[in-house]
Amino acid sequence: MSEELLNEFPHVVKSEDGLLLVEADQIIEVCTFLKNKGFDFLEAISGADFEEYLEVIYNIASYSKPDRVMLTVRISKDNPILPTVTSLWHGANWHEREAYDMFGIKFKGHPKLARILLPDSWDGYPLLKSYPLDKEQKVELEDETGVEICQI
Amino acid sequence: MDREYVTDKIRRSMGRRILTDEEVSGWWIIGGIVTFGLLFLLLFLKLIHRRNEHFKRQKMLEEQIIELVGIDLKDKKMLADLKAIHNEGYESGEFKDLSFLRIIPAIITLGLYIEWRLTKDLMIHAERQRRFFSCYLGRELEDTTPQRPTGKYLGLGVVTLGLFGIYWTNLIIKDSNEHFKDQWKLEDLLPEAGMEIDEGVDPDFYKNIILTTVDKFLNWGRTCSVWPMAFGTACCAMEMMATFASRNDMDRYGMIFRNSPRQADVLIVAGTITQKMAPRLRRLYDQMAEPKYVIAMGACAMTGGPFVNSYSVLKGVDKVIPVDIYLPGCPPRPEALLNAFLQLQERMKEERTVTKKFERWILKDRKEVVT
Repeated sequence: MSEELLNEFPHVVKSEDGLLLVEADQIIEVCTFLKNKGFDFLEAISGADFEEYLEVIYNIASYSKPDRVMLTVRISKDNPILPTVTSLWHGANWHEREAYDMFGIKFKGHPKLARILLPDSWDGYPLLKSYPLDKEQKVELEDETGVEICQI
Repeated sequence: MDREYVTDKIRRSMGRRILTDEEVSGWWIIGGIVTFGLLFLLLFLKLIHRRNEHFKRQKMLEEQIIELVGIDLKDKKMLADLKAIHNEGYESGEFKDLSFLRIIPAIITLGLYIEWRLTKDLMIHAERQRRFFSCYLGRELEDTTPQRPTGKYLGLGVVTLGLFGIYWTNLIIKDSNEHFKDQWKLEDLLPEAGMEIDEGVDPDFYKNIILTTVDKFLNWGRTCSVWPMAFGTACCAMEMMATFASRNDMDRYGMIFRNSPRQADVLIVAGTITQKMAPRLRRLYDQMAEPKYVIAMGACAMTGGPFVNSYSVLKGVDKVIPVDIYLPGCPPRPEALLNAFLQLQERMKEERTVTKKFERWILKDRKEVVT
């Protein structure tokens, strides 16, 4: 499959360890191409912090072939914005929210880009290498009338 | 064991004296004569209770002093002596509670039996106690409790058909009161002197037999049906399930899992609590009905455990809810959880629901006077 993809998109590079490196502005086209080729299941979207840049890894699989592809997108740390793929696979919703939660990667066009695992009041993105582990966070719980009942 | 901890315990034993060493008034005897002996029965019960409580407290105090000497371990001979004198109390039956049923032979012998027993016990106790504290303080203390010729008194009592018992009872009350006063003075002389009183224990209502019996009944019911809430968040939950499964079978202690906090008595925090979960945990705790207890199971719930350096793990559930029992282990074995429950039962037996309510009701007026 990767040969087919490489022929279609000349900008996609195959690295030594078999990763397909995709440009950030091309990701939606590549994904649409794969979806049309029968890749109907998005296994996971995960992030990684490489100090100089952030990486987003898409694991896409096909039930019918069976086959799987692993796409990697490198984005800058200063402006981590990517287009969302929720229009292609609805399952991407939570994965993108998690990537946003942990790495602060913003997915443009996402239906509800909010924190999913951490409390809403969380400050910072804990899986970034720059995040201090002993950082104090303030977590609150209010009841229906807005009275604070718990604070950490 | 820490020296300060033991000293603290000694002070608490001393503080208990406002509960145990109750001064009995001589008016009881007049009341007994007026009611043709009826109040004497109550008086005897009171005296027996007072004897039991005082001796129990002294036993605790002596044990703690021996512990303290054992920690210092400067004088091995003194420690051995103290232990020997302390053990005499077991041999003579002094440390054994005098059963309230002894009132039956007392009725038959016109009270002479119980008077004889109480006089004898006090004499043995005071003598042994004097030797104990002489040994501990390193100087001879004088014997303040008068020696009563019990055999002669018994004979006089029989001859006068029990009338002498009235005078004898008066002597018992006087001697005991004197002994308590001397004992208090002696305790204040100790190097570890100082009183610490457990708050929430009101001396006047503590011994109310009706309320404490109701409390005992309620506690019996509660300890025999501890219903925990199924709240497993991590691997400790597996051990929790194992505890409730057939091999350890917690059901035989009357512990059945409830899935609603409204029906549960105890919240087992089995596993890691993240900061996002913490407010929910607090809400679940708030939803439980009183009286409620919490067992922090495993290292994570106690302190954060292996994840203590993580960004999102709560460092101990006691930051959010009050914890009764800390259960270490990673995860604790089912036997350990079982033990935690047994410990919790011991704790629940100390609960004083009705007594406290009555206390509050009474003290409501009294506090207004004080303040």
